[in-house]
Amino acid sequence: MTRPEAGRAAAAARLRILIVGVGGQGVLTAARHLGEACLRTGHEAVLGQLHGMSQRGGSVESTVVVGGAESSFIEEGEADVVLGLEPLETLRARPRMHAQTRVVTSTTPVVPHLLSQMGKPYPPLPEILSAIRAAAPDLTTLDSAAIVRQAGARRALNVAMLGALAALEVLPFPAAALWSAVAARTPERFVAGNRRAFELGGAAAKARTSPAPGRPAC
Amino acid sequence: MRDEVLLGDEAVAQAALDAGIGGAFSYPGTPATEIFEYVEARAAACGVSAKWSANEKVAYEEALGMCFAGRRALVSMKHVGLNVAADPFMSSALTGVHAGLVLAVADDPGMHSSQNEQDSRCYAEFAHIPVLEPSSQQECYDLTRLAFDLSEEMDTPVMVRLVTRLAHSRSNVRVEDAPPAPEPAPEPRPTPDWRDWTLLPMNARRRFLEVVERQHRLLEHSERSPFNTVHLAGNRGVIASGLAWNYVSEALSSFALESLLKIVTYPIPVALVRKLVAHCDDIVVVEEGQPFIESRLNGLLGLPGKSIRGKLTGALPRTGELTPDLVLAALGREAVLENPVEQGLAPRPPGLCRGCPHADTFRALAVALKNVRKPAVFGDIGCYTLGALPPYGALNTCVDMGASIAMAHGAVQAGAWPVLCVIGDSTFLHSGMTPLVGAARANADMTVILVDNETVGMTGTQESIAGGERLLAILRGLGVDESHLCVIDPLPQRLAENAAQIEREIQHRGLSVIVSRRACVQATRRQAEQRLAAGGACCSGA
Repeated sequence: MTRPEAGRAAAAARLRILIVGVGGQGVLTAARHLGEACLRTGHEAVLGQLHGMSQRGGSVESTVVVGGAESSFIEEGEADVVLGLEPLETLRARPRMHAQTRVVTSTTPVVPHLLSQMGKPYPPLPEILSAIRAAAPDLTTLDSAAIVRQAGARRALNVAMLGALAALEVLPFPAAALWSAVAARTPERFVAGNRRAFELGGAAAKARTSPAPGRPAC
Repeated sequence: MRDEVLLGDEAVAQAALDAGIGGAFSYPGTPATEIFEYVEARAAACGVSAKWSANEKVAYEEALGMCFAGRRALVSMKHVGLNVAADPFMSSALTGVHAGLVLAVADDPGMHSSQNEQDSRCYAEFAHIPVLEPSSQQECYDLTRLAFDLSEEMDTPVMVRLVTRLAHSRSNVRVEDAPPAPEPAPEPRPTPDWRDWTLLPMNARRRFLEVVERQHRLLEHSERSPFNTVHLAGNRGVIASGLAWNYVSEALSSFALESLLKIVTYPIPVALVRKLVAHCDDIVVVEEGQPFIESRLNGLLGLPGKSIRGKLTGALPRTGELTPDLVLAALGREAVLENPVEQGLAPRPPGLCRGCPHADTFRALAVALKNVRKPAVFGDIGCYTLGALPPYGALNTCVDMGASIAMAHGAVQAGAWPVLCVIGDSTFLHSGMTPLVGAARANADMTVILVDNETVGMTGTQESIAGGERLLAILRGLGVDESHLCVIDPLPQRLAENAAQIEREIQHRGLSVIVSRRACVQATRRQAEQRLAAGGACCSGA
């Protein structure tokens, strides 16, 4: 997308992170973890969340705009980072990406109710990923189901994805700062599981990211 | 002072706590729910009262009663909740408040989870009360603090108006440190003069005159308020309020030559508007909701020699929510799409949860009605409204809280048959009991299916004030005939017997009430998690 020159003030200084997924996956919680990390490291952040009816298995999104923004809106072509907790939802966010957007997506599908009711198949994953890559070549994919299984923490999908995001070094604070924010906001009995998920997510992201744009498909 | 990352809703609540309220009052409704919940979570520690009310009217009246007794009160609701509370709201402008009364209303432009996008500023003008409209989380805090002082200074309720994207976005807020220990409740102030609060015509006439005469003091206050700012520069002027101000100021770097007016307080600060209009010929008005400022600026006939653009002229869309790009376009810059909107992706609309008891109720209803050509099934507001969508397609209407029972009774009087309605436990207690009294008295030939999941599911499983046996006792008390009051358990294995029961009650030529009772799966899960978190014994091993 071509933005009008200096259309939105000091856009260069900002990092616009869009988190998308399905109701119940922890999209809003992931945004709050990022917000807490910003607060702890002295970065101004505005967080947006849209929910209500969408809590019931619908598409959910949350935004984190770091660096003195007035609004939490992320418009078409404005997302610097897209964290997708579900592949179809990541693809749905494609209009918000630009050529340099860094995309991290889970490859574990959550089949929409409507598709299963109509007996239609979920779109093939390779097609979803190549459509995303066509808009934003810098794509990191994560088999999040395998990671949370390995971590023994069924509901830590969002934290595993945050671990992956932190490993990409796009955030204005180190992975350790994000982890301590997550830990501070996690009930005691879930901390160990979350920690494993965060670290496994980070390791997987590092292993899958290659610097060249023409890397092999995952 | 300390910093916290707060939702707009939470900033309002924190400010109310810091302003020393005696209580908070509300009925759940997106996007206002979190205002009350924030107070509720701190109620014991702060020594304030916080109990969900049966509906918004009750919440408003309870808050008014607390003010009568000399304690400050916060009442919060979504925009359509104010329709329910409109009766006490309008008249509370006449009674005055005695102690500060702040009404926080969250509007929902774009209807993310509402049935309309009415603008609460219109209500405030209608009632002759002031509005404070924050544009940031910090202003949510600062203006709510101010609202309590203004309420007492002017002896009027004060509205704080939020919109969804402000209510539901988080930012850093600088708040006052909590007092070291909860102070004991102060001695209630002496009761106010009964003649001010007893709105018999002779008193109400006098009070209304006082309300009208108060308006010029409110206008003066608004014109003096440091929250409103005017900046004169170029010949083009932008007037913006609330969240819209953010979108305008984000566009500012390239439009620094514009003259600007930010409106935060209402009545509209006319002196500032006059200043801007005298300086500019081309004026763009940017506001969330109705063209409230724009239409008042235009009047009936417009301003000769001035171009005023906004929602009325099509410079901005007349309906829906504003976005930064829409505002950019209204200011003359068009953004160009590079990655077009995705076509043909399987949509993911909200649906009933896996294992939801409502789904089993709707399946039984479908079986019961399979041989009926044109049933009239009136729906109501809650998760079960999703029963109107495929695959159920079970409902014909959704209008307002409690409407199903009253509309069904109206349809019966038109001769329709069979007539059914589906209403949830909390919605029934909110606004369904009164129409049922009339339907029971008339023994109307209709079947009410009361889906009792013992919670307010849609807004996040808040506690319903009566479910189970207590709900049955209420139904009997309202005059429902015991022999046509039955309870079914919506489970897949009971599909046939439940459908047969519904069919029998449809055939009964009179009023039947079927309570379809099973706990909400979300509430059950949440309760199990809370038990586990509290370290209590958990026999399910979950």
